[in-house]
Amino acid sequence: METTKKLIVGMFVGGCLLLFGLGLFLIGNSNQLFTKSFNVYAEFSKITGIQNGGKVRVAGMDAGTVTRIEVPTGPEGKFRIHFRIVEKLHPIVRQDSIATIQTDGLLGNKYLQIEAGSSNVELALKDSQIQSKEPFDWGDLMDEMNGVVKQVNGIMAGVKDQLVSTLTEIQGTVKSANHLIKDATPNVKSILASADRISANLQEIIDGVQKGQGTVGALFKDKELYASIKRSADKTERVVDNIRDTSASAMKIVNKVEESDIVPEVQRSIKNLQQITLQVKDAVDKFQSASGEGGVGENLQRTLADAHEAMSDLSDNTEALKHNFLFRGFFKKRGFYDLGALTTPEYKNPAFAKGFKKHRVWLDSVDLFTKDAKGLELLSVEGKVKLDEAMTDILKFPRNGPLMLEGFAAEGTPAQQHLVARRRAVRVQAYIVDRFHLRPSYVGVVSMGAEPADKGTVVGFKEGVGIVTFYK
Amino acid sequence: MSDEPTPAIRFDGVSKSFGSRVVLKDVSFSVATGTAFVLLGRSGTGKSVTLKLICGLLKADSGSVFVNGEDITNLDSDQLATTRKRIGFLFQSAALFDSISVGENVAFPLRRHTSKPDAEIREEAKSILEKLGLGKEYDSMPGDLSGGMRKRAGLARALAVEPSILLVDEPSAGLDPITSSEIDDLLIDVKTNRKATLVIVTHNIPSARRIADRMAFLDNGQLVAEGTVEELEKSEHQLVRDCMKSKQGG
Amino acid sequence: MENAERAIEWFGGLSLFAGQVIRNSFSPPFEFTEILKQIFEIGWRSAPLIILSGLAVGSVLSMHTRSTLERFGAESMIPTALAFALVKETGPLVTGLLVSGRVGAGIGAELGGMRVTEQIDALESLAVNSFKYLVVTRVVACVVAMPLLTVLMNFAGVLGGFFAETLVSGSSFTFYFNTAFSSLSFSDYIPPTIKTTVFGFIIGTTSAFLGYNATGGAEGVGRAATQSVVLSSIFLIVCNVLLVKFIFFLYPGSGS
Repeated sequence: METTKKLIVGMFVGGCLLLFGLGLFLIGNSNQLFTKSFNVYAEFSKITGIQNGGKVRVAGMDAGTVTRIEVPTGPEGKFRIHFRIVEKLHPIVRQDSIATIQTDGLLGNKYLQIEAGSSNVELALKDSQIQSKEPFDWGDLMDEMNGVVKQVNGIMAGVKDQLVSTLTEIQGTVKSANHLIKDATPNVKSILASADRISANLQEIIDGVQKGQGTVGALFKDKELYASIKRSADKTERVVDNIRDTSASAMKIVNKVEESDIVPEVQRSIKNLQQITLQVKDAVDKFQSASGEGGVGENLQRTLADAHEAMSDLSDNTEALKHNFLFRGFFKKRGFYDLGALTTPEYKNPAFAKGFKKHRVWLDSVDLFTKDAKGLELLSVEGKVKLDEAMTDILKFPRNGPLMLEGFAAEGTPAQQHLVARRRAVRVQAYIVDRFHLRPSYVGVVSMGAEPADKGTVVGFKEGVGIVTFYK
Repeated sequence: MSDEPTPAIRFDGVSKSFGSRVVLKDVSFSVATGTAFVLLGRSGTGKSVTLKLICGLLKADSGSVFVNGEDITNLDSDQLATTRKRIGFLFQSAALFDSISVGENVAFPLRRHTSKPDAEIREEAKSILEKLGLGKEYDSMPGDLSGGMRKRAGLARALAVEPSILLVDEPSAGLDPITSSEIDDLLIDVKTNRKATLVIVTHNIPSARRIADRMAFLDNGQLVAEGTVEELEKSEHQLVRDCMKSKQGG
Repeated sequence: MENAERAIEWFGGLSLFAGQVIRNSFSPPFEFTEILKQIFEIGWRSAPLIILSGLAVGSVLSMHTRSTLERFGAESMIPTALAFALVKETGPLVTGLLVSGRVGAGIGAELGGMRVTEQIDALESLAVNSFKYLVVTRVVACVVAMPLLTVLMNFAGVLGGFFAETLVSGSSFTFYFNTAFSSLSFSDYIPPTIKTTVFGFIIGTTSAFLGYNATGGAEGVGRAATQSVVLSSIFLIVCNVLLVKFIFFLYPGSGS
């Protein structure tokens, strides 16, 4: 064996080992293995798949790796994730830095994100604990939002009750209180409307997810929408906290009013009216803005306005989410996005419920409605029997598309026609949804106004309700 | 027996079979040091097997093989290697290592078994090749040589470590009569000048007559006749006598 | 039935042979010079083949991943995806198959040829342990060369991917290599590379076994060469399944 051959072998082996080492170095470098670093840890109740060797990023910059994961000893315990951060980034890791578990890109690995801290807080100590925020989970957001919605609902109900009771208690006694309530009521109402809408939207999205129409993880692609939802959710949460605080103070005042026995007093005796009025006025003054800045009334106003804004944001966002391409398929397949927002031209458009077959049952308004004292149409007993019969026919068909209630009316101006037609359909909707336990979001109402009757059946114009089921 | 010198090779009731095929059956003979022993016999009668048994490439099923008085049937590979260093083997096809040059083939055993410096080994290999008329072929590859030259190169390699025993398998196979007799001359030279013991397997009767001190005839795995050329010519076996009369190798 | 019996017997022979190889690899004398020579033959001489194939495989993989990832708008993941595919599986396996083709056939034919032309007997007659000299050296050289060639293949692959990628998107060399390796962890890189030593052992042992025990003249040599390639490829692929599973077992993290 000649020397040259030996030389070549040496170069070959050495070169390959060098390449291998280069690979090691590149990997180690990206994991910050060769840089001076310090160890800290954070605790999470769930770690959503983060692993030993997982990446750690400080404010988005690669900063180290997860070194060890301690498993909790009991179900109430938390996972303790130990990780390294390069010394270079230590100045921005403060004691108020927060660790979260994030996903890298669309379908990427999990990594630990450490937010930069505040400059007036001390540096995070070595081997100390970093505060953590539980991993964000779409399901959690749903739960959270559900919770928030419920909370809002509850609080709203509470606030409303309180307001209403306060209202009745002091109505006619103190005008300023009236003003306050008047100012608050529209806000409260619109908040409640938004809340209803959010829960409906979320319900539909959850339906979509369950049907496998959208991968939750893939939602992250629509970053802007996601961030927007998250912002709204955060805001809502904050607002709800405020509302809670404010309503608690409101409650106190109401209690005070109650404690002062003004209500029975009012009822009992008119003689003491003057005195009572003064007492109540005093209480309401406090309620309104007695203590100058941060007055409860003002606070409540502001919070409610905030809540209103946040809730309508959230409502818009959930609506946008429905149109997100991942869910679009589901809604397309279903044939409609939101029956509640359906306009008559949209309904008449052939694109509506494309690909569905339909079955129609016609009911004359004469058979369905009686008129009450004010001349409003209500469902008659016979009408309900008719509806039951009609629904038995309708329910024979597969329930996989929308059920539309078309209202027809031909009397009066077009606006009156529209309103009457709509009311008729709404009456029928209310009855059948309740009676046959239908899913409200699948039962739509559309006002068709005046339309010539089908040939041969009825003469003149259609007066009544058509029940149309769409199916596949 | 005791006062006689130890024979270079002695077979004592050796049997060997491959599967169900019996190749040697209770074969006994001995070869005195410094003599040439020719094994004759028809193809497939176990002549090559006999050579491989001597050199330990095969192991006898029963009986003993003695080389320079030492029973090699039960040696481990290290001890066998020591024995083999004293034995040269010229294979039928010469069995030169075709990945290295002719010179390196000859130098190979020297490199393996001596710690001489490279230049000295090359010098030695070259001188062996020169003696066998291959002085110019040191750097040729074995594939480029003619049959006779390969045989001579194989002989050169076998002789490189100066063996006391030389085993030769079919020295004239595939060679023309002139080349074949050149090889015979070389073998005789080895016997007389190096005082080596030769065991030669051949079909070529004329060349066997030239070289052999003693001969043996194998038939069906058994030694049917053993003795000098004259003794075999008068053998009671028709087959042996017929064979001895043939003029051609075959 | 008889075939099955023969196959089992053959496999038993191979296993004993492999055991003998392992035993002999650790007992002196060590044929260092011969091992170096075989590393030259098996490693260095295979390098051009491996590098060329690596460049080709890498660029093709890159083109495919591009067309797939483009759909998700994840072009930035191309180097990562390519490095993952290459380093974790494609590199080792393709290298194994290429080496079993080139080297397996070579060993089978060379040892087969030496067997039928009595060169192995000649070696023995020259007091050389032919097993150590011919078989162990080749197996050891395969074991040493395989991971080295795999590293070459991986880097050539990433380089090929870079060429393919830079033509389309003009990404920079440093960026490409950094991204390619940044998402890998040591457990993605080291075990798959080390496992190729087993591939080397399989290729070396199987083809040496077939060559060393070849019979039947030139035809037998041809048979030994062909079977060396076929059988060592099959064993390698099957064994890879076990090895991958085993690596997951050792490094559960590398499964994702």
